[in-house]
Amino acid sequence: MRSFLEVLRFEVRYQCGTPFLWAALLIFFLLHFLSITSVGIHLDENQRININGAAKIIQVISTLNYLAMLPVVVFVVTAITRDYDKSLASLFFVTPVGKLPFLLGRFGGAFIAALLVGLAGLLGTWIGTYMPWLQQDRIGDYTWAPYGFSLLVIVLPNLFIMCALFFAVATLTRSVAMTAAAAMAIMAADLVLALYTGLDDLGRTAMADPFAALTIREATRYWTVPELNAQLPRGHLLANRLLWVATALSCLVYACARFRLALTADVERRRWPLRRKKAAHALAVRMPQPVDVESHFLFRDVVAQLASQLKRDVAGAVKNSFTYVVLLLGAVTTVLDFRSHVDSLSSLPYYPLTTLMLAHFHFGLLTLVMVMAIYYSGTIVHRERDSGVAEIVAASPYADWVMVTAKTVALCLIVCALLVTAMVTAILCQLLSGYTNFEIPLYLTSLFVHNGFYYAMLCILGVVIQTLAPNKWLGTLSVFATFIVLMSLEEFGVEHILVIFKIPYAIHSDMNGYGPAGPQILALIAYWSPFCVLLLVLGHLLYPRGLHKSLKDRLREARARITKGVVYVSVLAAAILVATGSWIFYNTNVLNRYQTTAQRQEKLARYEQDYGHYEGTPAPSFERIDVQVDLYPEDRRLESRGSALLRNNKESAIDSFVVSVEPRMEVHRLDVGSATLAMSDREQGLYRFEMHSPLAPGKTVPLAWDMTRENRGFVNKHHDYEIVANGTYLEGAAILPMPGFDAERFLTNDAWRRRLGLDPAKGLPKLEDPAYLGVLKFGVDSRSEFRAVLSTSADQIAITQGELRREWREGKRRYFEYAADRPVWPAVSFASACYEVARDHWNDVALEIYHDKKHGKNIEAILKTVKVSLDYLTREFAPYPYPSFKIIEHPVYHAAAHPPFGTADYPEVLGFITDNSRANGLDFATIHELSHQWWGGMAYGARMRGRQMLNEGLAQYSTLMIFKESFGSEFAGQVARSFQDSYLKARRAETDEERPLMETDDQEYISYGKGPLVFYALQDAIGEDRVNRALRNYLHKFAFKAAPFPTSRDVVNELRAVAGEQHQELISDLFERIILYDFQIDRVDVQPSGDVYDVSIILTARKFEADGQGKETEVPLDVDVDIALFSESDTGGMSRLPVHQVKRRVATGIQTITVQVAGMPVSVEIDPFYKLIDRTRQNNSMKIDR
Amino acid sequence: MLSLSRVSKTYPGNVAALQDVDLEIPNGMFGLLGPNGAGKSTLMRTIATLQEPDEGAIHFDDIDVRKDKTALRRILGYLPQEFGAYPRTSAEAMLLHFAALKGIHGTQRKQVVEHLLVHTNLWNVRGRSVDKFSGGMKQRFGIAQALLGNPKLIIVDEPTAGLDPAERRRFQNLLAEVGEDRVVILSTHIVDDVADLCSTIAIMGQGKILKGGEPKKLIVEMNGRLWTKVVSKQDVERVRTDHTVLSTRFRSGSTEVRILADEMPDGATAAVPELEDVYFSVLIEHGLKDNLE
Repeated sequence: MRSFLEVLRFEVRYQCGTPFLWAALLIFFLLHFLSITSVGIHLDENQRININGAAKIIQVISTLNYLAMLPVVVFVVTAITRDYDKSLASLFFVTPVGKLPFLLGRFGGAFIAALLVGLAGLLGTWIGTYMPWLQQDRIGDYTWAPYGFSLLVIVLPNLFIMCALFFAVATLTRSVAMTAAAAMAIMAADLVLALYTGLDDLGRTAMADPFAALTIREATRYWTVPELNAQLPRGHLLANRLLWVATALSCLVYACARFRLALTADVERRRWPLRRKKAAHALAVRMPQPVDVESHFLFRDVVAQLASQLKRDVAGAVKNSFTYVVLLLGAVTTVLDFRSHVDSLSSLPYYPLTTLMLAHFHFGLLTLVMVMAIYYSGTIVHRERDSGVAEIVAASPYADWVMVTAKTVALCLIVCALLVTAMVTAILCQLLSGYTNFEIPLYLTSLFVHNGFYYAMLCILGVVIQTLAPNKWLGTLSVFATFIVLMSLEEFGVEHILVIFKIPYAIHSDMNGYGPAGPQILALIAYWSPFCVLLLVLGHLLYPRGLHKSLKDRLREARARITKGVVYVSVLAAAILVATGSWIFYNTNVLNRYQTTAQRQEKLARYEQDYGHYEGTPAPSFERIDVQVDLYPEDRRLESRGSALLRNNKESAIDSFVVSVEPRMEVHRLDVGSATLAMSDREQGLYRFEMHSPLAPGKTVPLAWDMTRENRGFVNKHHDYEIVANGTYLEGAAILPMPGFDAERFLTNDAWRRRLGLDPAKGLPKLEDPAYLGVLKFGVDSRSEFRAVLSTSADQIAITQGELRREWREGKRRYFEYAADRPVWPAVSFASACYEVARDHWNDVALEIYHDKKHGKNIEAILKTVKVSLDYLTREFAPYPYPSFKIIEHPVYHAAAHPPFGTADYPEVLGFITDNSRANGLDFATIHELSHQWWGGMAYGARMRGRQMLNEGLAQYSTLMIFKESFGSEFAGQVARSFQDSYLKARRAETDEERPLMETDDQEYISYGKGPLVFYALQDAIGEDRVNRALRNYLHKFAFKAAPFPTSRDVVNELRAVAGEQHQELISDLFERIILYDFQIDRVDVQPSGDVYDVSIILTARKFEADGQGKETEVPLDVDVDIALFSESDTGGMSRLPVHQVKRRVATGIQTITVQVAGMPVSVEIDPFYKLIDRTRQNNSMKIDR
Repeated sequence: MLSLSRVSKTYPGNVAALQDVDLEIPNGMFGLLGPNGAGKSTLMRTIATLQEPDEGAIHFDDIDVRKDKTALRRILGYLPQEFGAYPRTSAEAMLLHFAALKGIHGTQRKQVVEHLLVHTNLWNVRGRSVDKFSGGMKQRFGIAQALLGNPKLIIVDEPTAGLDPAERRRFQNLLAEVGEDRVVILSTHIVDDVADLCSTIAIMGQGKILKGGEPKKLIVEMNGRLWTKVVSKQDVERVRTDHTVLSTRFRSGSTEVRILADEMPDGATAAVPELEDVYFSVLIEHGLKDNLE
C-alpha cells in the first residue's frame, strides 16, 4: 500500500510539473467557458433552453468531454512509457516495487491528471453561467444538480473509461502510436454511431456509446423546453454507465494481469528474419575501393537527399497503425455518407451521383485531415530528435531547406492517402450500386484542388508550428489550439477571405458546376500559395538543426540561413501575394460591396426600424403585368423593364403607398402615373409615392420600371447564385417592383434581434385578425393578368409561367413570349438554362418537364406520378385549372421548390435524382408540389396564423393519401411515422411557443409534420370521402375569389359541417389543441378456444394536453384506436401485414381488449400505423410468449 | 590539418564551456582527454558544426568552418556520444539514408553501404532493426555511418563507454585502420583508449586545454618523478598530507599509492610512469582532481 501511495504521489507531482498539464487545464477551461457563453463556439442553436439549465450544462460538458481524449492519451502514455524513453526502466524494475502498486500508482496519477482537466471544464462551465453579458431571461435558478450529475454521470465515468482503456493499450503495447490509434478508433466508432443511426436503432445506440452522449440524446429526444431545463436525463444511462465502466475495469484488470515488470513489450512485434543466404555471397564480394565521393551536389543530388528523407518520413507513417485507423475511418464515413443521401420527404435514396459526395469531401473529411495534421506534424517534425538521430543528421551536408520541405511533402502525402481512400471508396460504392458515371475529373478537382489545397495549407501550418515548438506534445497542443482558433474566426466576426486562412466551401451543381464561386476559389489558391511559401521559408529559417538550442542560437542560425536564394524566393512570393491579394481585394471591396454578417444584419434591422411602420399600409395591387426580361447568362447580367396596372381593391382611397424592390436591383426608372416620388431609399429598395389626388377604390394607376442587375468579378461570401451561366433562376419579386411593403425580410432570429436592439419577432397576426383577411404578401391582394417576353442566349430556353405564345430569334439572342390565360397570383418565377424538354399530356393538359440533360432518368416516373396525382386530385377536389403543367429544374444553389401557377420549380436534388424503385416509381416530391396547385394555388391563405396549414399541411395530406391509395396502409404508416418523428423532435427547438395546427405561425414542423397527421387521423375517424368533401366545399367557396381570403378556421368549419356530433370534440383536439397520447401494452394473454384464439390485451392509455411551452396536463381519453395482431415478427420494414386488425374505443387508464383471431399471433401493437401522436413508441407493442 | 584559434563559448547562466581553446591537429589520431564536464563534447560539437562558438576561428585545410559549414560537412564523419535510429528501421536502410544525405547516390550508394557493413562486421544483421542491436553492434553501426563518404575529418565522441573488452579491442582496431591519412579526433575519459591509439593528445579541463603533446614524450618527462608505496588503509590519509598522491589502487588486501615527487619518499619505490599518471598529475596541478579519494 505504501509503495502504491509513493508511486501515486510521485506520478501526480510529475504530471503537475509538466507545462502540458497546465496548458491542457487552461484550454479546457476556456473551451467550456466559451461554449456555455456561446462566444465563438456554438454547440447547438436551441435558443429556448436556459443557459444555466440542466440540458445546456449537460450538453456542453458531454460534447466537449470527447476532446479530453487528447490529454488523456498523453497522460497515460507518459505514465507508462516514460521509463523506457528515458532508459530508466532497468533502474526502476529492480526496486522492490510490486507490479500492482506500480501500475495502479501510475494509473492513478494519470487518472487524477485527467480528472483535473475535467474539473477545469466544469469550472469553466460554472463560471461562464455568471457572465453579465448573457441573456438574462435565459438564466434560471442556479442549482448544483446539473453539475453534480455531470460530474458523477459524465465526467468521472468517462475519464475513467478513457484512462482505463488507453492505459490498457499502452501497458500492453508500450507504444505511443498504438495508444493514439486506439483513441482514434474509439472516436471513430463514436462518430459513426452519432451520425448514422436510424430511428430503429436508438435503443441500441444508447447502450453502444461509451461516453453516453448519445444515451443522453436518446433519453431527451422528445423533451420539451421546461423538461430540458429542469430534469436530469435517465433513459438507459444507468445501464450504459455500468456496462462501460465494467468493460473498462475489466480491460484494466486484464492489462495488469498480463503486465510483466520486464523490459520487452508484452505484445511482441514481428522480428526481421536474418538473411542467412546472402552470407556466403558476402564473403565473395570484392571489397570496392573506398569510393572517392567528391560530392557533386548538383541539383539532382539535392533531389535525391530530399527523396531519401521523404521516404523515411513516409515509411514512419506507413508503419504506424494510427494511419490505418484513420484511413479506415475515412472509408467508413464515406460509405455512411453515401448511404445518407436520401430524400428528406420520402426517405428514398438518391441516385449515387458524384456531385452528392462533394460536400462530404469538405465537411466530412476535414476533421480527419485535422486529426492527421495534428498528430503527424508532431511525429514527423520531431522524429530526428525523438529517435536520437538528430546530431548525426545535423552533421550531414544537406541544405537546410531539404528537411522542412521533405517533412511538409510527407505530411501532405499522408493526407493525400486519406483523400485517395475516400475517392476510391466512393467510386466503389457507386459501382456496387450499379452506377458507372464516375466523373473522375470532378472527383479530382474537388478532392485535390478545392479541398486538397486547403488541407495542404493546414499541413504546412502544422509543420511550421511544430518547428517552433520545443517538443512534440506542446507542439501538438499548439497545432490543435491553432486549428480551433481558425475554425472560430468567423464566429468572432473575422470574415474576409483574405484573412481567414481557408478555401471556403463552394456548392457544386450538376447544372452549373461551382458557378460564381469558381473564380474566387482560383484567386484564393493563387493568393494563399505564396503565403504558404513564406510560411515554409519561416519554417526553413527556424528549423532546429541538431539538438535543442537556445532562442539566441536559433535566431543566429536563422540569420545565417538567409541566403540569396531565400531572399529571392521570399521577395517573389511576397510580390505575388500582394498582387493576388490586391486583385481579390479589388473584386471583393471595390467592384462589389464588402459586408460582414454583422453589417448585413444591421442593415436589416435598420430597415425594420426605419420603415416597419409601413407594414400593412394599403397599396394598390397588380391588375396587369407586362414585363420584358433580358438575360445575359455569360455576363451574369439581367435587365427587367415593363409596365403594370395597379388597382385599389381596398374600401377606402389611397393617398400614398410604398413600392418594394429587391435591393440588388439597380433602378434606372420607377414611375407611378399621377404620383410623385416622395421618398426613395435605393439601398433598402423602398420607394414611396404620393398620389396627386387620392386613388379611389376600384381605380387604377400605371407603374413603369427599368431595372438591371449586374454581377462583376466575385464577392467575399454571398455569391449571386441566381444569375449564372447555366441555370439562372429568380423569383418574380426579385426582379419586379412589388407594390406594398416587404415584411418577409425581417430578421426572425430572436438572439440577433436582441443584439441589434429590436424587440422579439412578432410572428404572424392572430387567426381571424380582420385587418389581415385581405392581405397575402407585400401589398398583393388580387390576381393579375400576366404577360412576359424573355430573351436569353441562343443555346438556352428562357421560361416563366403561362403559355408559350411565340418564340423567335434575333441575332445571337432567342426570344420567348408567355402569357397566362386567366388572372393569376403575381408570384412568378423566371428561369433560363440549356434545357432538354420532355412532353406528354394528361387529358387536355399539356405536361412539360424542363430538365438538365444529365437528369433524365426519372422523367418517366415523374410523368407517371403527375398523371396519377392529377387523377386523384381532380377526382377528389377540383379540376386542374390551367392548360399546362410545367416542371422546371434549377440548380441546387436554391434548394427549395416553388409552385407558381401551373408550374413546379424543382431544385436538381428533388425528384430528378430520387431512386423511386422501391416506391414503384411514384415520386413523393412531385405529388406534393403538384397538389400545391390546389392548396395555395387556387386558394391562398390570408396573412395570419394557420395559413401554412392551408398550403403545406394539405399538400402533405394529399401526398400521404395518394401513397395510401397506391401502396396501402403499411407504407402510409411508415411515412406517417417519419412525420411524427420530425414533429416530435423539432418541438424541443421551438424558440417561441408551440401552437395548435390551426394557428401555426409558419412553424414548419407543425405544418409539414403534424399537419398531415391531423388530417390523416381525422379521415381515419370519419372517412376519407367526408374529409375530402369538406375540402371540396372549401375550394368551391374560395378558389379564384377575391378578398377576404381563406383562413384555417374556414377549413375547420367545413370539417365540422360534415362530421357528426360525435366527432366535434375530436376535431377540437386535432386542430385547436396540442394533444399527445400515451399507449402502453402491459400484458397479453392468449387462450386457445376451439380452433380460434382469444387474445386479451391489457393496456394503459392516457391523453395529455400540452401548452405552448410544453407543459402537459392529463385530460380524459376517449378515442378509437387501431389494434393489430401480427403473425410475422416485427421486421420494421414497409411490408408488415397484420393478420387481424380492429378499431376499439379506448379510455383513460387500464383496460382489457379482447380479440378473436384464427391463427396464433406473434405480436400485438396498438396504433401500428402511427395515426396518433405518441411520444413513447417502444411500449406500444409486445411480443407474445408461446 | 585542423586548427582552432581562441574558440570560446559561454552558456546562459555564465557557464563557461570553452575558454580560449587553441589547437593544431594534423593527420592521424588525436586524443582528447578530460573529466566529465570538461567541455569535450561541447568542443566536439563545435568542430562538427553543430554548435556555434561565441568567439574564435576554426579552419580545416582551406575551409573556414564557421563561414562555410556545408563544406566541412561534406568531408566530416561524426559519431556522437549518444545516438539512436528511426524505430523499426533496418541498419541497411539507415545507412542508405545517411549515405543519401551525405550526397552519395545511385549504384555507388549501395556499394559503399555494403562495403561498410562488411567492414564493421554487421553484414549478417543488416536487416535487423537498429533499436534491437547490442551495445557493441550499435557502436559499430555508429562508426560505419561516420565513415560514409570517405571523410577527411572524423570526430568520435566517447565511443567505447559500455563496450566489453573484446568489443573495445575490435573498435580500437577499426579506428586504427582508419586513422592513417585523415584527422581523427577521439574524445574520451578512458585513458587506455588514448594511450594505445593516439599519436597526439590534449588534456582538457574546465573548458581549457591544460596540456598537449605526444604521449611518449609526456611520459618521458615524468621519468624519475613517479614512486609507488604500499601502505595500510589507516596510513593513506597521512601519506596524502605529506605528498602529492596521484592515485591509489587496491592490490590484494593492501593499498598501493602512486606519488609524484622530485625525490623519493620514504618506503617508496621508483615506478614507470603511465599516461594515466600524466593525466592525473595535470588535473591535480589545475585543481581539478581531489588529492583525496
